[in-house]
Amino acid sequence: MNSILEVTDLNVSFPTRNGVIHASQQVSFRISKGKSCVLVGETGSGKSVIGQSVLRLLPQKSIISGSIRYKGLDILTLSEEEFSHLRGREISLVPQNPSASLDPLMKCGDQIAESVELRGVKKSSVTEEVLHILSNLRFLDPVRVSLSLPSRLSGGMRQRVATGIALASKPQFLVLDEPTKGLDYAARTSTIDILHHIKANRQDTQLLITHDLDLAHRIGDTMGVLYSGELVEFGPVNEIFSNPLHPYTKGLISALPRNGMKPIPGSCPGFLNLPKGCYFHKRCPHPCARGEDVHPEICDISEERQVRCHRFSA
Amino acid sequence: MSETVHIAILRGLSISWEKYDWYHRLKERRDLQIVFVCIIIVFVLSLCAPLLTGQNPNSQDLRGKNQGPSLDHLLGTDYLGRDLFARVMYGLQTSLGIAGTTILISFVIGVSIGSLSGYLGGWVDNCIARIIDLFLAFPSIILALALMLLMGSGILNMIMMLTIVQWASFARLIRGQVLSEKNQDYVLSSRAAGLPGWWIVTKHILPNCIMPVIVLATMDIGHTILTISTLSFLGIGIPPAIPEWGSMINSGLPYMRIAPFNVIIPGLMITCVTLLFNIAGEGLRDITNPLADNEGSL
Repeated sequence: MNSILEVTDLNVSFPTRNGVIHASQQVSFRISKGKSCVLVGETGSGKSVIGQSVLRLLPQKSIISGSIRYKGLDILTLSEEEFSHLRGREISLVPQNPSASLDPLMKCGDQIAESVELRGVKKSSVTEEVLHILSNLRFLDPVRVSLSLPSRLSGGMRQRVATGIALASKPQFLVLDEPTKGLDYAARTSTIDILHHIKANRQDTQLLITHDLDLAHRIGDTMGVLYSGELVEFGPVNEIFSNPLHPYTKGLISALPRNGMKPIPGSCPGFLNLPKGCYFHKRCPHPCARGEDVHPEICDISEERQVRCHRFSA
Repeated sequence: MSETVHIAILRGLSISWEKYDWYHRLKERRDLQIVFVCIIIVFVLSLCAPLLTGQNPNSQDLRGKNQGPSLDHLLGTDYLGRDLFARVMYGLQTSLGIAGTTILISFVIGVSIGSLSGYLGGWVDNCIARIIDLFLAFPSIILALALMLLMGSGILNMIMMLTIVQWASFARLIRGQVLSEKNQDYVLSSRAAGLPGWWIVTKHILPNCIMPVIVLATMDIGHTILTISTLSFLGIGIPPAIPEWGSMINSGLPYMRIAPFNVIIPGLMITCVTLLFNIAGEGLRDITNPLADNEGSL
């Protein structure tokens, strides 16, 4: 298998005063070289936690088990010094909230230049490189943007600058954490265009975390659906959209505006009192008797597709 | 000039101003402008003391002691016949020099230790925070008195002693600032970009949280001038040969009825300079923190 990233049985939990929160449970998936994998799920389904554990940016208190192999190296067992050669150089992150993710007191150009310099570009050509990156991100006036503070830019522009910082180090693996969150329609469309453009032009591998199914459909090659910290369905994007297996995935797709915006009844169980059986049991349109108290395991449907549902196991 | 060039220049200007929003707020505050100009004048006066006075502050003239103002001696003479104006000017030099150096050293020590502690966290932070608490727990004047008795008087000893008393408050303030700042998203994303820790602290965290410490430093210059005067008034700060306001007041006290200027002028100077730095500190806080309530100021 030509996989760049291989996540196996990833468990992440955070001890809190009210009990342990299992933000990610037994998550396993792999991403092949040059493909982009999308993780979708609602707020609090543990999407970002997976992204942050790939970059080892989780708080020190969190408990992590399982393995994340990047090109065969287990990221979780590398020392901080060994990993610092990967972070920001080979693996980089487009952060979740671009308005807060840019240093408010540093000009955008300088922030991109920091990452360009990390790559070892000569001082004299750094500015040129920064302007090149900005114009690739479809800024009409790259010079002005590079001299502006983040507070002078719109949300969509900040998102593009944040993307520029991540691309500046020419990474081979890019983690995009909700790139369209909080953007209006126009900014969202242009961001999707740019991501599409990046994907078409660069041969890097991407892990895209989003709750935006349109974005997933457009950019993704494979897709994983997360529910309450678990992967409930995984497979090629086209197949999942044309033939969703898990009732939650079906619900998500029929909740899209173009499919009539039919909501899924009920809400996610809280992380602190997860049911013993299937987490989706209470909201399931076809509840099964086994789901009441037996937790379903994820099972292979075909070589590429997996689903966590009693109706497909055995 | 063609229009495009013109626009480019305007743009350049507006961009260079954007970074300094406080500059705009300063332009609206006439009172602060006056205070800052006064501070600059005070600094210039202290540097130009030898030029302004033309008198040696230590040359005695026992026949002309305790005199009132005259053309020779603008503010009169003290109990040893030394020129009061010269001594007040050189006293400004002493006070500002010692206070400025102290604050500068405490600032550097406090900010580096405090930001290191806040950024590293964990047991390093715990240890450093307890040491800071220990230094803050001593009553500063008593600690200063004890240290001065131990080390003896002298300008260098004075600076060292004041630094020992001062640095901890800077360290504590910057530690708190860094602690709250390091959980901001932009710090996380610069870590994700693979920037080294020292770079993140100096280039990203500190510029975003140093302003309150600069405000504290400005106000503390006033405080330090007061402490220096207090200690010299008590006779343990600075050797008597060096003109200093506190010791001038002390030595002028017995002759207050015949030569009141010897007490009044140094006292006024202490009050004015301290007041100046306090107002400047508060003003800096107002203009650098737009969320603060500006209405109540002067």
